Amino acid sequence: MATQGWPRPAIWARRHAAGQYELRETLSGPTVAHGPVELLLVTLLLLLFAIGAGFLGSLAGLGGGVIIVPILVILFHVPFVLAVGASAISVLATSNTAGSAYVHDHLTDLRIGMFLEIATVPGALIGATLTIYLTKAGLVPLLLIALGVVLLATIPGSFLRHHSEVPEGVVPDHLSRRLGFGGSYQDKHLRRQVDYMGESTKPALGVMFSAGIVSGMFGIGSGVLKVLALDRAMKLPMKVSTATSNFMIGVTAAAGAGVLLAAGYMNPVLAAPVALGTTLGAFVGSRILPGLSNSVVRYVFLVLMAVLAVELILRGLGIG
Amino acid sequence: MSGKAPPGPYGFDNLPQPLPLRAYQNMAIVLRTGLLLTVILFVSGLALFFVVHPGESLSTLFSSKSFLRFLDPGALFNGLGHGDPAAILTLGMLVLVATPMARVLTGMIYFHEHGELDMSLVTLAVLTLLLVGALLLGPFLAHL
Repeated sequence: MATQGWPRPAIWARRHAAGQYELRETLSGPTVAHGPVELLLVTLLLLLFAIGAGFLGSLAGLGGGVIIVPILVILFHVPFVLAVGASAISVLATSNTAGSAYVHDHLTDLRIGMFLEIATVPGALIGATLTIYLTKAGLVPLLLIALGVVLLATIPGSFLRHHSEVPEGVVPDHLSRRLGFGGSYQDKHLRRQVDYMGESTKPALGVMFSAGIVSGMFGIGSGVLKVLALDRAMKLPMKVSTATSNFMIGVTAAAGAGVLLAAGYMNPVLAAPVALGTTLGAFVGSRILPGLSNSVVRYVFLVLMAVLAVELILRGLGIG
Repeated sequence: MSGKAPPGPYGFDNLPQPLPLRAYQNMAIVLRTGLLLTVILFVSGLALFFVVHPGESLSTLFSSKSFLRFLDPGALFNGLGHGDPAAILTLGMLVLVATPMARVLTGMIYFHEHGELDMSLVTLAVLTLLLVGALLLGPFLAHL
């Protein structure tokens, strides 16, 4: 296996036999024995790291799921495919929390969200299939490099500003007119009713398909791509775009998670603390967000993401 | 708005009606119920896991083998009946994955009730894809 002999800087690294990323060990586990106390301690550490990731991700506006896989792979030496499964479960949990609030506020455009899921869901199925296939083919280093590149690409993407609070000059396309992609909502900030319609639905479908592939492959929400589709292509108002994107993340993550779970690449003892921690961290982060200047946190989070991305790429290349 | 718009029943001059408030409320209830159930199952399952398996090794985290049996419904119900923490945790993951599917189903019902045939077909297609992924593609990949 190409991954044998990679450096293992974390404290548990020396305890592992080389080649832990091999498929047989993903399914059956490494043969090296560990003490019972370690499992409890490591589970508590997982919980703490997940709380931190959820908290920082929430303040940075990127979601904690984006750094869960690198943390699990680099610090905890979890096999890549199991890390993706755990991350997808955590994204599902946090999106259910956020999604229920947004749906309750009636800012989500259910028609647009559900229609675009026709692109994200097959994308996620393909993405999860790719991850399983590449893992079975012994090409985990390729996945590490790909995730590193996606994380690096997310950093400039996260600076994309919403087109405007309420886009002007929207010309509804045929699909928007036929299926009713539009509506109105009462904007408390602007103190008026905002009417909106969607446009460029077909390009948005293409971007959403890509978002689905990335989400399925790496167990992340792909929020940057979703904003591109809803905000830049369809020209939806910022609030509708954000709420609809959050609404869609759950279904997309469920598609990838469903495949990984049914294929046997989920470990509930790993996924449960990660999901609980990320959700708790994101919940606390969203509560204190309004009273906090988050630009410093955002930059810290992005730097952390860049470091993790470079580490993933180096590991994929067998360097470092 | 400027520009020549293609024909269709909706536009800025005739905005589509939002789904009824009940649809939004029911979807929020589905998501919150799913999340609450998952949290209960995850917390109780984890706590029970460390009580029942105090001697479990760290290797448990790096393997999925010991949990695969609970993907079989019979084994899952049997495990739940015996209070097996791994079965409880697996049920938590299943509930979490099923929650968005239930939300799609809720949407499909409302689109159908309001005569939006196109949208009810779209949601049916999404639901079908989700089920195909979990029930056919996943098991197929397991035996690849």
